Amino acid sequence: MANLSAQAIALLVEELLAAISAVGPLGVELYLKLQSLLHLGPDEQANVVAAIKAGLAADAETIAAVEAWKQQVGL
Amino acid sequence: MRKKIILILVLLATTVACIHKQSGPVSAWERVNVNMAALAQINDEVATGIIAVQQAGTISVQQAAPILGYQETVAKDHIAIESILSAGSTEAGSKAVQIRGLLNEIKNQGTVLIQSGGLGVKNPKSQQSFTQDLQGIVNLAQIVLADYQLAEGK
Repeated sequence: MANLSAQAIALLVEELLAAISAVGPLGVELYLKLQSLLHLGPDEQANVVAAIKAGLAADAETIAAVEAWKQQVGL
Repeated sequence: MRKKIILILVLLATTVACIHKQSGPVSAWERVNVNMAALAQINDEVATGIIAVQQAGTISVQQAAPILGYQETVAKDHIAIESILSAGSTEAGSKAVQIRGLLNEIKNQGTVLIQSGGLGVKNPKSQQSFTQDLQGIVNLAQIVLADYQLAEGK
């Protein structure tokens, strides 16, 4: 996989987008989120920091949503 | 439709596992962190999907509670791992057992939840069953574990 040409990778991404589009808007949204993570810049440290930040933001959303749901249903 | 969903899962896992960047190879360290972020984002999508179907009355509170408990565990375990990873590769190396333990917890609890059954309800957000959604999280945890072992060996 690491030996794929840029053209092959572009084709793979297009196929992925086409497949996910068939699922619906959420699939596209998720794809775009992942795509933003896949296009890494040259600076390793910056990439790591960006990934950690994105992951922690998702965690905060998850915990907040679950806690709000628990309160709503009385758990 | 089923084939397309399987194709999506395979492509998603493959693409996430085959991250590339514009200049130079992606380091094992970058791979671990980006895949961890993807896992957290998918976990968030699953949690909001489960809440939506419960609120719509498709599943009961009793059915939703253990699944959402798992989503919260995944999020908290992920935060714990990131707090170690953010300290740098040296710190992460000294806490390898802890990191592997947290990743295994995500993987194992997800597997138990899937095996408990009753999760065949379709997630309106992903248009696939919650079993398939959870399997995606378990698969990603496995990918991150493999990435992490590669990063450790570097």
